Amino acid sequence: MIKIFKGRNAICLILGLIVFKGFLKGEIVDRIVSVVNGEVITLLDVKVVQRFSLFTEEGNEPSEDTYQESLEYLINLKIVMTMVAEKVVVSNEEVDSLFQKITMEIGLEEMEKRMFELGLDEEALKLYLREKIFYEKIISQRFSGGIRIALSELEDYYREKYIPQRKELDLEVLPLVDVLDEVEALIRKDKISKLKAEWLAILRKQADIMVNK
Amino acid sequence: MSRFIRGFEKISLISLLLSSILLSIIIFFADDFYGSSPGCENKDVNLTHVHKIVVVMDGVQKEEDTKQIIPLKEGEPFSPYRVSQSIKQLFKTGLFSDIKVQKEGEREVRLTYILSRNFFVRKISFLTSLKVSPESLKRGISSLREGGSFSEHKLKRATEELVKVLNEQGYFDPKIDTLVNKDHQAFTLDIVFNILFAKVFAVEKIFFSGEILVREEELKRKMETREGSSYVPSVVEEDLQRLRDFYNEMNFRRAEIRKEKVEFDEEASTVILNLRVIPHEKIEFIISGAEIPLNLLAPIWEERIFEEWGLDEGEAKIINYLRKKGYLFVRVESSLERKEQTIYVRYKISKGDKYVIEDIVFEGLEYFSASDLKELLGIKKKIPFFSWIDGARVFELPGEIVAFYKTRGFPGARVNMRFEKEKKGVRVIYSIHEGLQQKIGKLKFEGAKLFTSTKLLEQINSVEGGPFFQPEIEKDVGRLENFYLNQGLRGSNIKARVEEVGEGVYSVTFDIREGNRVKVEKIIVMGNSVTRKGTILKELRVKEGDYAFQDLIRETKRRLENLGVFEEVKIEEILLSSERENLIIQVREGKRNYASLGVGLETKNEPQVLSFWNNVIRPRLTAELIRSNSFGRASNLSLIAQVSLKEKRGVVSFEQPYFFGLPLQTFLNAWIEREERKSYSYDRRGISMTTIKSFSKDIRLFSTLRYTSTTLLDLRIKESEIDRQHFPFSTSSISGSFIWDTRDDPFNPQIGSFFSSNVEWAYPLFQTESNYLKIFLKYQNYISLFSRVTLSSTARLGLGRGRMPIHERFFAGGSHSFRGNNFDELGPRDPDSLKPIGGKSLCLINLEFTFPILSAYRDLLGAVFYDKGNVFAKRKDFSFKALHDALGFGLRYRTPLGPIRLELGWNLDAPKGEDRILVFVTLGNVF
Repeated sequence: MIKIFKGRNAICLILGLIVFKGFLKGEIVDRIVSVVNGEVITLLDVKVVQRFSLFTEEGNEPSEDTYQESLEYLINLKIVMTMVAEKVVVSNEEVDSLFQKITMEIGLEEMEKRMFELGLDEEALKLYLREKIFYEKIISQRFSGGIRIALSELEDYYREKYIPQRKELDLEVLPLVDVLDEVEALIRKDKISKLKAEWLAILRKQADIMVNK
Repeated sequence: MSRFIRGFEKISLISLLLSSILLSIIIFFADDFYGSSPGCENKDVNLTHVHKIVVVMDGVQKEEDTKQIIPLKEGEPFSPYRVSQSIKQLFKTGLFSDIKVQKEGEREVRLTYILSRNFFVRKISFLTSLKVSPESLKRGISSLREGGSFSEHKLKRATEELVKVLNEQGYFDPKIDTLVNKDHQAFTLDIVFNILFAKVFAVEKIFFSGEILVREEELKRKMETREGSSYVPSVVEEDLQRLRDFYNEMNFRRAEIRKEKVEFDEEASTVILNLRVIPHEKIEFIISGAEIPLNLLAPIWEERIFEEWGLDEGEAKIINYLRKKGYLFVRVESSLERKEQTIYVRYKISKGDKYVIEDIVFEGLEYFSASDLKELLGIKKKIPFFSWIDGARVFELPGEIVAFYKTRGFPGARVNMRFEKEKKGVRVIYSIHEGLQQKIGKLKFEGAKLFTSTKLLEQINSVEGGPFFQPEIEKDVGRLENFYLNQGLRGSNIKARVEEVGEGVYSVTFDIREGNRVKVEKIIVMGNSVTRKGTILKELRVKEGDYAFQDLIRETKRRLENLGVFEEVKIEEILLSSERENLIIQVREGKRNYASLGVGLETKNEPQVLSFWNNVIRPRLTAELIRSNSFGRASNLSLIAQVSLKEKRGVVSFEQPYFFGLPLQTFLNAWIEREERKSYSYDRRGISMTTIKSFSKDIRLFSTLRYTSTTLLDLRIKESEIDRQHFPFSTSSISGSFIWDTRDDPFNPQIGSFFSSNVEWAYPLFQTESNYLKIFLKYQNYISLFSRVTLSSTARLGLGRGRMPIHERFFAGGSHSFRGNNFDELGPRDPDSLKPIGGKSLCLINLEFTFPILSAYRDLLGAVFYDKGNVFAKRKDFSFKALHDALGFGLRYRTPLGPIRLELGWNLDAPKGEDRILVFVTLGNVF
């Protein structure tokens, strides 16, 4: 192996490196990663969602950043924005509040650093936040109202999920009466999540989605 | 040196390979590390600037001017976000299917935009031996369409759709090859779906389950699908509907028949079809007191509904139906009864007497007069023998009046209706309580700096002191937004604020946040491979450096579309900054070659052996070849051939939108023709040039230079009528025409007028024999008296002087001029042969009254007409007393090409021995 890199071979190696440096000197900084109903999602959009954990829902812990999860979030968001006729108003106060919340979570210095890396100013980032709030409001408006939870569902959930979870975490298991609201909220969240997934699946079938691999 | 090179050759390949792999690994991990360590990534990203922009389109580096389409400019600061925005803006132009941006350098960044052009589908075709119509396959593909953009993703979806269509038509597991032929010049492509083979299944057995109520054989007889026939799902779907209809006839109006299971036997290529029948309840209607068509009620009960609603809906339909017939005071009682599996729906009707609506009266009006309100509500005056307002509308009017008052600022308007009976007639009285009118007390514009309030007030409909109606205010916001766009501003935001400042008095404030005036920095034209750039630029109404006036941008788009050479014109505004933008004009050129063959009918009333009335319908063949967009100048070159038993004509025509750079539509024609007329036949060769200038939608000016050489043949008149010494007779002339057309529809006009004047001066130029002056004036007027009743009048005057050969004289007679004579036969005649010889003056007046005959056939009209006119050998012979009269009546059936007319004309001044009554069948209006 070493022999190969001696004498003329070494010169050729250097020449080869120079030649291939020419081919590989540029990096793709941005590109179209998906087009949803004519709306473009760029690589930068995905990076913004990743870096600021925008794909996580209210009340969820920020997940590990993954490219695919962020892209899926953006595709769903574009589908909802282009296919849903409902009108939702997002106020500047709501956007400011989310901005502050994210800043608190990741720290001012880190926030500025991330924005700096992506070339975003506050206004630009707030456009992403506005879309996130819009999306979440649509989902909430559509599914929160009509969900009814029967007592039997509360009991089943308490018995089958709540108690095992508490025990696993070595926490005190409180009686159902004391945690009724908490259990109801968890069931509601599960149901909304399921309904949302079903709804988005239907919309996805109707949508024109192109993903660049 | 040569030794070195030889040695280099021996080992270079392996070294290059190794070094490249090594470098790739280094770069791969370096990039990964780079990407995963945000802190290391472009720390000075905002301090960097774009040093150089390069555009690579479809793998080819483009010229410097192409980079004008890139929204980012050299010298501007670099940031990933701005690159991302530029990609989105570029994609919005519709020109590109994929965009990547490559970056080199740190402080001085070189950006390479790698663009893939969008291809557009020119043609979709199918190659197959299967018995399927290409049209049905094309209809089934929605992801790709001719004229639409192409992508591999769309092609994949289209193929899936094609499989689905084939399955529906009984072809399963088809093997489809797709062939895409790209034209890299025009950025279009043709797609061929080659359907190689598909499986076909035969129906082995049809089973029915459920409560079928009749014998299976009877159901099978109703179906097109038979045991042993091919299994075609779309035909089975039609069969299911047939079975539903069959059960419906037996009053099982909610019968469900569905495919429960289809068992495929791949080896035997057969299927077993299992159909399930659920008849549900039988629904019987028992109607007493009036005859009501069942199809009025049956559809209500075909779905599962709330029964109370169903009964109410049925009552409403019956009442409406009978009110229309004049039973204004009809009452209906309904009930429902269930007995076993049958629902009995009973309607007991008390029709009452039938009334004619004699009058509509409004009481309590202050704001409007009764006649104004009637006009605004579209209630026309009652004319005896003609249909008027019907009984159903009488009951709808209160709602319409209230809605109408709301738009005029009366939110509290109320209407009470009562009737005054008079024998068989009834007066309908609407007592209107208008209530308080809401008014606009004050109109204000806040935040507007660029335009005065007076200017802004001109843009909106609302006025101080005028009615206040919230939806109208919203429309005014739209009008203002449009105004700002038309003034070249972008990013303006306008909101209306309404405050009540007194009882029913509102103050309306338009809060205006003015955007920036945007200038067009660069206009980029793309997509034209044949059309010259200059041809496109001539149509632009905005120039580089102008403000981006949106109305002018729209006008540019309209003008480009009007050239007729583009299938699609898109103009995208790409904002470069808050004050400048690029205009990207993307055109997609259409087909250039057109061929058409038409077989038609020609009508000219000349006696023929085969005719049983006076005018003859002869076949006529027209063939046309058009080469569009010749020389890339949006010009059309066409070859036209027309052949009928009486006419043969060949025309070469060249049409262009400009004449020596002037915006004058120009036609250059050369033709050769032979035509048989009453008194003679002729051969003619000619060339002409016509330019058209449109001053507005209604007014056009034509000018024509013409040279013709005419040889008369087969003369059936005395030779003294022609100038034998000038044979053939050549004419050079110049003519001008003015046209003012305000008709609502040129083919079936009901309202408006048409005026044309033509002056032709033939001068003996280039040794031609012509020397005459002709003037021809025409005026038509259409008055709509009331719905579908029209009074039309046409007046024509022709005057000529000088040496006018027979073929340049005025002739009249026939279905389009004077319906008391056959074609050309009005006016002077040859004393021996009695054939028409035409004249130097003509006067024609036509009056026509058209009216509906049957309300069910809206396009069928009756007509009564009166024609007056004559042709005189010389101008001095003209006399009103010598004008002939004809009366007649007929039928018309309106088609998109004009009415088909059947008319009977009676000549009141016919000389002895000539037909007094003539029958005409023709297409088109009197002209």
